[in-house]
Amino acid sequence: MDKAFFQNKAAQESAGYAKLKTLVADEFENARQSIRQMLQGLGIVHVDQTSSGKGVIDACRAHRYDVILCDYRLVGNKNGQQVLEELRELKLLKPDVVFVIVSAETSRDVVMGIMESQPDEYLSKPFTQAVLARRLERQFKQAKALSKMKMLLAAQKYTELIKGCLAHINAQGRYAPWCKRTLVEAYLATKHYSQLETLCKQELQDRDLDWPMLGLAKMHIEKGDIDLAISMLEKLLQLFPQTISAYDLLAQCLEDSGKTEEAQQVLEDALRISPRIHKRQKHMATVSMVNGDAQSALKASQQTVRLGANSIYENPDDYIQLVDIVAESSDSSESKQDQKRLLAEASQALSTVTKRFANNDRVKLRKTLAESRLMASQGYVREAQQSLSMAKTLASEMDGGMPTEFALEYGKTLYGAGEKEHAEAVLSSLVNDSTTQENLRQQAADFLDEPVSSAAKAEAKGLNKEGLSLYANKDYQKAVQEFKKALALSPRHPGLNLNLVQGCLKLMESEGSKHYLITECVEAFKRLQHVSERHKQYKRLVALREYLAKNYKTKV
Amino acid sequence: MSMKADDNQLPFADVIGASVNDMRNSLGQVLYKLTGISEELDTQESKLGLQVVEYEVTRMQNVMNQLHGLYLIETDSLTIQMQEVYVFELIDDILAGMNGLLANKKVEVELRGEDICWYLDPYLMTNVLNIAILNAVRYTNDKICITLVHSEKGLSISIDDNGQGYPDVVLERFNNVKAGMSIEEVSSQNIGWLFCEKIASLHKNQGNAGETILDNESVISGGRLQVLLP
Repeated sequence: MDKAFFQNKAAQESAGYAKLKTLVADEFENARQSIRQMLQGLGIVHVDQTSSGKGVIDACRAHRYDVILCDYRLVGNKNGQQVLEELRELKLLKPDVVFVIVSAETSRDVVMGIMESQPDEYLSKPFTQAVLARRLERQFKQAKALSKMKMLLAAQKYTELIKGCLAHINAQGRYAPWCKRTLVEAYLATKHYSQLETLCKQELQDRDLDWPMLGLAKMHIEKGDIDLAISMLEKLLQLFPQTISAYDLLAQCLEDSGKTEEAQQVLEDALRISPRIHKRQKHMATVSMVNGDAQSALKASQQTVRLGANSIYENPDDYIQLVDIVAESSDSSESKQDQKRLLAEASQALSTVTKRFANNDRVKLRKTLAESRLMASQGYVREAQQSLSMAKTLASEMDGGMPTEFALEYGKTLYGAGEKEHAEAVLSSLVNDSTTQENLRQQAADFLDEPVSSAAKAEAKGLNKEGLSLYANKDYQKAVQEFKKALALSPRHPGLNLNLVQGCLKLMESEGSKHYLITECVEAFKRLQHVSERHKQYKRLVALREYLAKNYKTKV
Repeated sequence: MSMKADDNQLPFADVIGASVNDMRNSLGQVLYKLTGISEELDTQESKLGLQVVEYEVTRMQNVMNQLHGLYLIETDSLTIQMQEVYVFELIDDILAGMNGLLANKKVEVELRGEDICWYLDPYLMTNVLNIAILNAVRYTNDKICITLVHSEKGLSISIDDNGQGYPDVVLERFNNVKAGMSIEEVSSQNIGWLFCEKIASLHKNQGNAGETILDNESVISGGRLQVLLP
């Protein structure tokens, strides 16, 4: 392994290397120079250079590079990871490009972020020309060996892909690990579950490995066996606690099965390892908002906006979400000072989203609606109404008026600005329309159930829990008191109202019919007029109403 | 002090991260310049001087990696990314990085065994093998033998030299480090071994953990460091 050996090798390769188009990006001139000279030493003639992320993207618009060596730290506000993500999204890379992220970074959040963006190669500084040469050579060799299969994969020609992978594995080819992982993907796409199971279980017999477990979990999800998927993912994370994609998958499974608190816990664990992922922070913001954890939602939403800025993932939704979280958490923040700071941040988000998506009427409409909600949350009803009427004007100028996908936001805004009947009509029609997307319907229904701040929701939830435990202990008198306290905070909540009704009925079972208890029940049913047949609590509501009518001659 | 302690505290994780980042960039430049200089030198005398510089730069790099790695382990923030890797590729990269040093020191390296694909963290194992091989460079006469063996216990990577072998006192110190006894004499060598042992033990399979062994069982009669990964 001496120098002469290496130089011979380099000389052999240089004939092929001479034609390669390469690009070097680094914030420092001397680093660019040294990498450029290393490449030239390998026989590469065409070496472009740039210092910024924008420079890389512009260069890729102009040229089709074979090799890009991009440092993580660049001049300007994009880092190497964001540049790679953007180039992929914009389809500015040749399918067989070798994209190398070069980095001297050491902190886990940065390194994990880089890994998650899946560059072809990660080269950590310092490195020598000899190391660079070897890495490139290996990349080219692999690209050559797998080019046909990678093409099949991209074209989703799974039958041929499976054949190719199996042939390579049977011939004990060097890239058998890649082929096996690709097989899992292909089996999943073609629903060849028994083949997938055989392959994964065989691998796991030999040793503990992450990808077969991940493959099995994905198979369980596809088959609808969410519980099996959850236990597989939990087992995987116990063995390999840094398998980051398993956290995201597990959180999704838990959320889908209604375990949103556990989902949030899992996302927290994932963010501790790899926080610089836009999608993950956004998921966290959404899930913690569902859980009424305004503090966590706010933090995650701020990170979402921060990570989105300058990246291909930037979305008006991120800004609107931040404004809404500030609005909904306005009565839970600790001090006046904190509140002021948050309001300033929300206002900033509103003006940024306007600037970033100028000339986009739909974004302008959403922004104006969000502004109204923010004002309403602070008690500025007049300002809220002003923004709302501005939004109505904007919508009237659009083809078809208020777009249906904004119905939820529109309904919430109407409610906040005091147009409650109109709000109820908009949201109810959303809930009852069979073409409404399931999660949108759920959100509309949730809002109709509890159009109150997240702090009020959280407090009501606690009191309800207290009431339920008193109920379980047959202390119905006290349970009814707790349910009433909770209802003062969240009066339209179906579960809570029905708990109160049930408590009253239990109380009358032992103490006989009482006028004031019947009144409580009647009032509760009146508060539940928004509950339609589609609602989860509808059956329970009907049963209790019939019981009341039958036993206490009370018609509601 | 009137200021609250919290306001005064340095965010040490960031300070260390930024400093290591800077040092890595610097070392990159130093290594690059050294390669250039090495090609221009012709006298035996100057090459001998350069060899010392190359050895020390590589050592500095290893010390920085082990120091930082141990810090990350202690603060539970070490990145571990297991992959299926051909082990000779890792070793090939390391030897390529030491190319000049090995040539100037006239140390011959022999690889034995079949190339084996193993499930490991390539970045961490590169640091471990870098330390192990440089250690062998220091103690060897003129030859290093690296052997891969796949047995029931897992993968064994042996780095053997043909030097004098380790004196008993050094072997004892190594075993103390491994047994988790307090390091009486904190030396860079001890810390290096500690790092290697910790990284090896992070590699686990079906209830077994990896380990390192230091002895004088070298196949070319000298010292040997063995890394076992289950």
